[in-house]
Amino acid sequence: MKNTLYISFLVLFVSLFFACSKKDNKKKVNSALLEKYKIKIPLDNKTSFWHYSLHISKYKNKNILSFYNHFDNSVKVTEFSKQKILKQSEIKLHHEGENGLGEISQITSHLYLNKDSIYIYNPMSGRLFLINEKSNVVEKYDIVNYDNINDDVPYPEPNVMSPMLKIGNKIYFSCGLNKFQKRFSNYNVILEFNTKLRLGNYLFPFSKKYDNGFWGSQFKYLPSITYNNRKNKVYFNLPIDEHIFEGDLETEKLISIKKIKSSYISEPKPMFKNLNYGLRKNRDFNKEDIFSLSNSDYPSLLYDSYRDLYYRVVYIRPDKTKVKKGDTLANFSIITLDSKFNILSEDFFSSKTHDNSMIVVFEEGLAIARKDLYELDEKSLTFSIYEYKK
Amino acid sequence: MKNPSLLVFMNIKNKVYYFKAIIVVFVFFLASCEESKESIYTKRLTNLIGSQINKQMDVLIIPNEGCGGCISDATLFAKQNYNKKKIIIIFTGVKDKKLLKNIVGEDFLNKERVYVDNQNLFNSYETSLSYPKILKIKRKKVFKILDFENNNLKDN
Repeated sequence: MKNTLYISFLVLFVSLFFACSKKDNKKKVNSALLEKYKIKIPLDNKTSFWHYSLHISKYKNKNILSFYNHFDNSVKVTEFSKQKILKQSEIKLHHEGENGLGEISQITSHLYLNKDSIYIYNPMSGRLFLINEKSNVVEKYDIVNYDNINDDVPYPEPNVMSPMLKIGNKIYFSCGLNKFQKRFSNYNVILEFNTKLRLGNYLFPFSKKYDNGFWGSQFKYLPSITYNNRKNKVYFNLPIDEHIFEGDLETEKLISIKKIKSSYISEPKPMFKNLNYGLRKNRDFNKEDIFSLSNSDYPSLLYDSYRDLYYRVVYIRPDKTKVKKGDTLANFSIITLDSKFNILSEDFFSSKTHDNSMIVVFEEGLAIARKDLYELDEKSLTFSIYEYKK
Repeated sequence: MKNPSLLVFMNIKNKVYYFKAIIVVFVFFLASCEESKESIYTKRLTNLIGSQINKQMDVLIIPNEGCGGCISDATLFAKQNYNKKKIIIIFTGVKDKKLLKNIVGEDFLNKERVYVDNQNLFNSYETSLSYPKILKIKRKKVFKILDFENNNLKDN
């Protein structure tokens, strides 16, 4: 009897010990994204740190960093070479008049190709504008028809982690849910807009995993795409699916390429196993937010055409208790992949120092915005430039 | 001698009675353990502004994220009425102080009754803050939490 009691207590104690021990989120696998240098972009008084739309392009051998600044409704442009700032300018956008873009929200996105070709997507009006550096509207395209409320089409939501892609005469947009679906594996979420024909076509559905449950808030249903110009294929990433998908733009077929798992997070699980929860009218959005912000996911995949590498971003989210107290910021890791999607490395980043949503690829490497340095100096937006080293 | 079957019956009846009593006590215990929102707000307010809490006053809390139009309205109201209404103004969930300074002005942020909630005491799901809120204070404690509306604020 005494032995039984003793064994029972021992089992209980051991179980409690393992249940209470926390996972070490800071363990590193292989650290191989090395910082090359930092670049400091001067900011004026009206420009702060975070931008929903940020882009680095190359034009006439110069790197051009541009972002949409909502506070003063302008696109800020910086030409730079390595760490040297060459020139800064701004393109003031207009709300009204001949060159008016309408009411513009903070989630406006842009694509800067060169000084004569800057695309601005205004989600408030569902219109895409082509402007030049003098803010003259060259073309306007109706992308979404908000007047037709019966339309069950997803709405474009391009952002830094999944920007607009221009391939030939077509522009590709990642889209978010307009209405919750009864089935996701036949619901296409990438909008292909032909600027010559002025016609849109939806491609590439959610994976079957989305039919297996209710996954939480809207951002769990936001795909990201990236374009491999060497193969002329797009690669499709879904936040709750460990697989990467390859999309053929000619055949419009999507195939699963590989399972790319992070060593920092476990496989994403649904909030409810019943998909139909999302169709209910009395959903608890607070509860959904808490679940979504405390369950890790894969928000983005980026292709690096200069090094023929891919980067998969992983959000390592805080636990439920922290989220309830308002600590919702996710640390992140970046999985570096070769051209065949073999994992080369996975590097951890703290969100106290690096911003988890301002990550862009350019000629010099992977640029990640530094929030800790901005806190010390609000007159500069600093990026750390990383390159994969064997 | 008492009837044995009656004794058994009495024992069962007592057990059921005590079991029910335990359930009732347990439920009351649980109910008393759950802290009210007013109590949570009072603690956090004391933490943030301490001695500035008067016996009777209003506090306007403006979150950084949430209902954009509501936040803009509340911010504009706070700026325009700072001198007319003796309220405390708290900006919470501020991710970029420079942006906040641009929106409301640095001078306004430095005013006596304006606070920036750097610890994000009011930016949690426990306080459910995605809309601006008015806290009504009586006897130095929050007794009511209202959505921001001009009519919900005291005149001087």
